[in-house]
Amino acid sequence: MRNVYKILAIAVFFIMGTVAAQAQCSDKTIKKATKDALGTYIFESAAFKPLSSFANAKGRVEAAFSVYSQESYRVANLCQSFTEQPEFEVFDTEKNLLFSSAKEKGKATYDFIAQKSGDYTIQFKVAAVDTKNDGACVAFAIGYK
Amino acid sequence: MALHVLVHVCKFILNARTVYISLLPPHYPAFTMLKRYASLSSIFYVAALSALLAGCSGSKTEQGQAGDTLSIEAPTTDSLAAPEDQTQDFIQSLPSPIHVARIFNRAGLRYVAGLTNTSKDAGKYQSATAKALNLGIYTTDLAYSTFNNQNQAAVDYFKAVQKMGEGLDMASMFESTNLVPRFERNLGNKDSLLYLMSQLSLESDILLKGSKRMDVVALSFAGAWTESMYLTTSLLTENKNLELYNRVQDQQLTLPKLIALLESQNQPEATPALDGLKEVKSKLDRVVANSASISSTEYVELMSSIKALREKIIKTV
Repeated sequence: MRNVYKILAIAVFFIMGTVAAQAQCSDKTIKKATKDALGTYIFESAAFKPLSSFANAKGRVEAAFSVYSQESYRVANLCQSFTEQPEFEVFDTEKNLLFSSAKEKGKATYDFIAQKSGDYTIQFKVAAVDTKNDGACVAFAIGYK
Repeated sequence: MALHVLVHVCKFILNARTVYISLLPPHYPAFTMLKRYASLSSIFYVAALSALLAGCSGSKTEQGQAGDTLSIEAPTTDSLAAPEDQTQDFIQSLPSPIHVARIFNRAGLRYVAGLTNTSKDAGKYQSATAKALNLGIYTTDLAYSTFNNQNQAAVDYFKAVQKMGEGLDMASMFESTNLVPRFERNLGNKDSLLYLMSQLSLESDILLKGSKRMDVVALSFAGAWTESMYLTTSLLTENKNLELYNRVQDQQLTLPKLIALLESQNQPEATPALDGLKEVKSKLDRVVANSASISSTEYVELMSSIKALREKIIKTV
């Protein structure tokens, strides 16, 4: 009888561990986070992957997205389950830094009007404490007006 | 068949999961079963059961039922590596097809009857490639009709989008959100319709990316992009709107990414569309490089290449 409870407890532990790691990058979690973060902006696109899938990230994860001139955009940091929320930066087509969450009290969204059409870059800086965090999910969404 | 049985076993176990977790009472049949297992090799069964349950979560997502499931994200050694710029950690984001249509609309794209692909043809597309490409075509036609207050056409295109989506195992997205009835109820309210199209875009984007169906993402965007360019370039010959023409030239930004994404998927069935897009790219590059006017030979060639590609797509069955 006692053995059975032990087995169940161990199984639950394994399962919950697996589930917790997957849940953070689940469609459902990302969808809800996207809707909340974009607010009145219209959905453009989203991207999400577990931190553990970035084998060579070395503490930085980068993504690019296209913008059209004079269009209004919102970029939202949707990273999930980090011990410390990654620093989130946005660069313009010439790689000029436009936004850093570190300078904006950890703000998770950045709104802007693109001055010219081209590719913008998002960069996430992952804190050392999280580099081996298998449950963390790197995610962002883009909206437009 | 074996897969079918496995899916049913997984579904059964998933349904039983909450009972299992809450520690069964001694009279529960599964308890007796587990007790017997315990007397054999506890660790083996614990590991096997854990693996099976974890596997079940993944299988369900692969069927495209993403609304209430967990997705397993495999380590990224597949085609999701950015095709154009390997230093990027995510695949480069393509704009939403509805946003592209919106940009053209704001630049002055007006409605002309008869230009869009007829929604009555939705039933003729049989292959997955044809469905994915024409999902994109119909998404643009939906946006084009909605932005131009063509309400009945918009409803018909929404239904065509649903039909294509169902043929691509995306039915759950329509069932869980009731998008089509909500769209019909809000006809005449452009803000609501735009919101619902945005919901459609969000649901499909996250569903397809979550289940790693980048082939469908690429093909449907190819269809949507081609239709937007077809509608715009067709109208530009009559209405020489410079702002609209600038937006056409802006597509030099998106097209190489679309081509790279399609190439990374390595699908033989997509080759005709890919070849067509490459042809369009060469013409578009010439237009931009020569600052060609709307009445130039370069522009006429661009328009012809887009028309030929669009014909190819809507005739793919």
